[in-house]
Amino acid sequence: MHLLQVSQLQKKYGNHEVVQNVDFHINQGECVALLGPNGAGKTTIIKMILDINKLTGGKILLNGKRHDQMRKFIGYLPQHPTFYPWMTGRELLIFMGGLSNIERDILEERINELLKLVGLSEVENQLIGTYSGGMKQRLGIAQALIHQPKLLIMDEPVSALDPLGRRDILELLKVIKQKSTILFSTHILHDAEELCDKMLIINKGQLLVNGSIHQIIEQTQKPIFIIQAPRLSEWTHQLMNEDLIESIELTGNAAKVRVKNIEQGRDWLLSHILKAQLPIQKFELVQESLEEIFLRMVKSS
Amino acid sequence: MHYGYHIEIDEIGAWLPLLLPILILHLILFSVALVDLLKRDQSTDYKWLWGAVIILVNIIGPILYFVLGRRQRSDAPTSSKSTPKKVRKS
Amino acid sequence: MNRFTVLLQKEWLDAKRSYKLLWLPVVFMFLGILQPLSSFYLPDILKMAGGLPDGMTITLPELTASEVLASALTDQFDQLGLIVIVMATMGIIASDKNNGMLAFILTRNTTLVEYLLSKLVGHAVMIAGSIFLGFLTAVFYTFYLYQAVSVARIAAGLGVYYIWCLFMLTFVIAIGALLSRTPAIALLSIFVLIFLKTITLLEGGFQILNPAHLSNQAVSIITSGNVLPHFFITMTVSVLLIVFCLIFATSYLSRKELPSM
Repeated sequence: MHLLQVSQLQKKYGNHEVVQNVDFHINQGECVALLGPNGAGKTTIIKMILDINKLTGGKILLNGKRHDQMRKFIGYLPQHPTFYPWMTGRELLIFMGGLSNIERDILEERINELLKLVGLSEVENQLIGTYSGGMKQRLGIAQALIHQPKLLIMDEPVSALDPLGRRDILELLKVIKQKSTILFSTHILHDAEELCDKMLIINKGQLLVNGSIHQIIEQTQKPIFIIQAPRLSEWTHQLMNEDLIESIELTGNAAKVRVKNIEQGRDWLLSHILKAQLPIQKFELVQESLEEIFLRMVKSS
Repeated sequence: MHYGYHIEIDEIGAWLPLLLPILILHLILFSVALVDLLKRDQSTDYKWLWGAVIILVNIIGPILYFVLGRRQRSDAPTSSKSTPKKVRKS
Repeated sequence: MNRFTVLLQKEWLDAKRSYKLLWLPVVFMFLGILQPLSSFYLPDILKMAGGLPDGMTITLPELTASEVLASALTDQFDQLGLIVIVMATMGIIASDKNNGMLAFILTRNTTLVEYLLSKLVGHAVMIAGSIFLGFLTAVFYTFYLYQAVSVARIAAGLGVYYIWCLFMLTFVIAIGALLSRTPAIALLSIFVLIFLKTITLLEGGFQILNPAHLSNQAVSIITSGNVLPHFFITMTVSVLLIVFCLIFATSYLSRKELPSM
């Protein structure tokens, strides 16, 4: 049985479909990245799993069970955690733990452990209002873990941080990952690649890819011809309308050309270069990087 | 009942116990508000403005500070304070 | 420890850290002092401020001690006091709602009912303490300057008056659930509550349905020891309105998609 099973998930605001028929599942111990550009519907999906937003259609099951029970088993870190600025870090953890019905003495012990884990032990009695963004995020992670949830869900945990804070949180998440099942959303491929083994790429509310990074590269990677030459833009302009060509991307004096068929495409491109007497400096066949796959998918959807 | 028209020393003596509680209450509000303002992590302009309100406007000044002056920071934290309707989109 | 206690403790801490616990009672104590003192010394104050033109005399009504106490309720608590109560409570739902804290609290296994009840009970206790202390100072000053009044009457009057205060509180909570901008919440609440209060000056049968009429009932209890007619109807209506406001707030918030962080 999957830990989290999402099937045919739908969300509409009026006639606007924000999430369309999304299917995926998460197994115990996995770390899954929910990847997509801003506005793709990541937060909406997360909020539906958490029962903050209501579903328009579909089902969300945790351990094969229904929705009402979910909150107990999920730890959640919101996108912009504000908390109460007038509480201290420790008080917030006591408050959140109390809301999850944890016994006071067990709670104290767990808070000490968590504060140590996220590195906030020294500032536990300072007001949250005085915390930096990174500290708030770490406190957010601590409060999400306080009831020892089966699944930890984080919405853009590192997006709002400076490079240093981001590094900190990513390292912390690597530690947490070893013991917990994690689902986190991000619009930055690099974070997903660094932390997770599984990815869900969504755009405009639709699930484009679902699988391990390895799998994604293997299944969806396409070859690209890289052609480098001066005065390339005129030449590429002529290519635009050809049937064989899927897309052309021009950066400086290099062009990335995707073709529908490699054999035919290579012959055709070479002959065309000869015909145009293009003084090429480079003609190369490469495989797409993960980032290129991501960008291509998001663009074409 | 006798209403005195001139205020004399002994009459001030009679007034004092009545006015004393007001004075004490005011002093408490006044000092708590000022101490809080000084501790607050805010711009100097902000502190001067509210400091003036607390000092110059008797009784009401500190209360205005508690109700309105302290809101700023707690209401506008790091999160986007846009209209709630916008927030719901991813 | 149950969740309601946890929420209530949070309210208490909030009230302490925001100094609400300090200024709310102090304001009411000021108001309580103001009425007996100004009634008693008004002639002196007029005289000191330059007095009246020569030859003109005014006859200030001789107030009895119970009348002074009653006017502390109607002239101070029901005007400035009402505004202060609204100011103290205008943001209690809206700020949590707007910054996403409410939705966030609900991602723990808490219910809206527990949440709203903690807000209600926390502030009801604070308001009770404030009007009690405020009225206590009014009583001290009145006893000192005028004479003693039956304590039983005062207690009964204040108890009735408190139901009207509870109505104010739940009304602001309901408006706070409905609207999201605090100035709008404050203005609408103050407008409606002052309106209810003002129409109590009019005669008419509809008064028995007006929770603000409880303030008149309280005055009557303090000055005469008797209630006005239809006391129990007004009381019942007020309690029902309080319950209605709470049910409204709960059902509105549970149906609405809350903004979250």
